[in-house]
Amino acid sequence: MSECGSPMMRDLLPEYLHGRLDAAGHLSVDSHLAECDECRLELSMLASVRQAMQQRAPAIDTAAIVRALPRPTRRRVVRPSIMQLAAALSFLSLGGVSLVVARSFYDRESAVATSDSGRTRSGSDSVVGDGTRLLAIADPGLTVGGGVADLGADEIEQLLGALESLEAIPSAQQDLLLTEDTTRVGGVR
Amino acid sequence: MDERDPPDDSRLDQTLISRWRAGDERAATQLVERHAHQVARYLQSLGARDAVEELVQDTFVRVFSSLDSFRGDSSLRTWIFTIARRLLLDSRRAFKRRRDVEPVHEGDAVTEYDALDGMIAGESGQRVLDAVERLSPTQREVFALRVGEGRSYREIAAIVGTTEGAARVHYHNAVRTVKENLYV
Repeated sequence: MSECGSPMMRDLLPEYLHGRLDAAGHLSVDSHLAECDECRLELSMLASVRQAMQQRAPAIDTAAIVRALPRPTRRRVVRPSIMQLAAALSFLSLGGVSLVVARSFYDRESAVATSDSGRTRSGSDSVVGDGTRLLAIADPGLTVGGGVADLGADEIEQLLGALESLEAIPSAQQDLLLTEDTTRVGGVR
Repeated sequence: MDERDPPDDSRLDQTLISRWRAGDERAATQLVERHAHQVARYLQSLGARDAVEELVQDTFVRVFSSLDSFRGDSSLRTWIFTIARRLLLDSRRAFKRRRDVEPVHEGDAVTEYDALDGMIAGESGQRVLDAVERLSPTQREVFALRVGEGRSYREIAAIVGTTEGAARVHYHNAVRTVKENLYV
């Protein structure tokens, strides 16, 4: 009996037996088997083992297994209608506008309160001590987005630039600004 | 090929899994029919005897309960075999614990790998199975997966929890031993 000269082909015999090789692989093993007695004998032995294993396999009641299985859990994808989306957007927009208005009002109130107390204490200190307050006084509309903590790096730089330019304004005008604004807001209060 | 032995077609399995997830219970039947007999054979080669059917059922209940965690890294059949093996080992541990506290009866003295004494049709088949039975437990498991189920070394390594190289060595040693047992 000729000995196998191709361990690689011999290694593929189980896949060949189970038909798990692609066409080219199957053909290669076919050609090898035609000239290798050892592999033919081994394949025959493997086929006998496989057949014996299949014959002694226990009978399985697949229907009973299926009955014992859990039911599939259907995943419902909730897709909102266009009307629902529009309603949600409107609600969010209204809420956002209300929040902005409320914050704007709150900031103006705070600015006035602070400037009142600052002026009482040390004149213009409160004006240069907090950029938010300063802008609230110079232009109340600028503070609607929030305080200094909400500003980005660029915005802080702009704010500092604005502060520098404000420092160049004669102190009399600053007082005037304070006085006008305080008076106006205070009048409302 | 045995008519109860459908090919391991991963694409078909994925399709059936998707259909089952979408609520098609017939897909579950197909999946069970595609793999149950192979799982039973594999469990039997590992020494499961009386409890094979129960173990196969437990395996599929576990498989379908955790299908969401099946990522498809291996074929579904390889994954099912891994779960079946784990359940068998768990049941053996439970059996050992019970045996430690209960009196042992003669009929309970089941060795781990004595399943290959099952019913077979012909005497030559019995001779072949006798030769396989003399393998070491690990060699027998690898041999059964490779010859009985056509698993690749990579799949065997994933199921048994070893390396491809070790699986290859176990397989070749098993083939040599079976040949010696048969022909000497």
